[in-house]
Amino acid sequence: MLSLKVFRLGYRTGAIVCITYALIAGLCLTLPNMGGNMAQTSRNVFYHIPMWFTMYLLMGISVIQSILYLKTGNLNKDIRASAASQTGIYFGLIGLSTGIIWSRVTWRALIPSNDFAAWWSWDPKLTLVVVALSVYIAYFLLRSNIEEPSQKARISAVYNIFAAASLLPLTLLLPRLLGGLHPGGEEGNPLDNVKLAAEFRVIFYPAVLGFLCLGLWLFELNVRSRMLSNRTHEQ
Amino acid sequence: MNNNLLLALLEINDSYLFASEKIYTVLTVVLLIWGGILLYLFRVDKRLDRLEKEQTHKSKSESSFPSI
Repeated sequence: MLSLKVFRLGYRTGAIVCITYALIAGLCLTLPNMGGNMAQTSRNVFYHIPMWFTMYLLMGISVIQSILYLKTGNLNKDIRASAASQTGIYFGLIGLSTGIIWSRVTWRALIPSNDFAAWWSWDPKLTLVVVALSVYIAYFLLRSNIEEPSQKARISAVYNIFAAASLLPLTLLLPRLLGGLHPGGEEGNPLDNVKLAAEFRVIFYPAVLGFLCLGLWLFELNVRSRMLSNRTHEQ
Repeated sequence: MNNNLLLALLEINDSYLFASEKIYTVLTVVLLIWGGILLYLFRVDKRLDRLEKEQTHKSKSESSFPSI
């Protein structure tokens, strides 16, 4: 399996090179002011947003593996599906918590810290992301409550298809329709008014690539350790 | 002394940790954390390689010498 080896080497290199570049360039290069009270926090674009891209990638891998499981009945596909959505949930939670910190000092800057509203704005995107993540957490609750492996795999694969089908409408489509503070919403966002400047793009795209590679790497480690423990249990 | 020379002198005297609003200090911290995470990932990777090798050896020896 030479191609698999090359692929694995590829995303390891991609993660190391691109994320290191994004950390250095993202912190040190001079960037145009995005307006509002963004100040230097617009640099969060390089780190907060790739979390969501990576989550979408991993949830995509997960649902593809679930479909493949339903087609083939190969339990390894089920292991891959659950490993991918588990890794994806971590990226989602990191995206959510980094977003809370960012929103605290920009959209919610004037609210005192002891007020809950300073940390949570009930922006459609935030709220619906919590719903979407809950759907995936329920996927693991469902899995943990079914004993028989092939039944667990089949039921959770079907559930996963519904979860994936709800992910994009919940986190991308509805927030845009409802408006809100995130880019694409009605009330708008400083980042929305200015087309992401070239200075941002030369850091942002490599950052996205780097975190996607990191997501694949973590997914691979997750799958391999699950496969190992699965085989140990069989023996 | 003209301004440019003064600035140049300041830059020489300033260690990089103090330069440009001390952002390089943050950069150093962030890169150390990132390096630590990478080291951890590679070690997990190596351990998985070893365990996978052991397991394939085990299953091979089991298939050639089936246990009763």
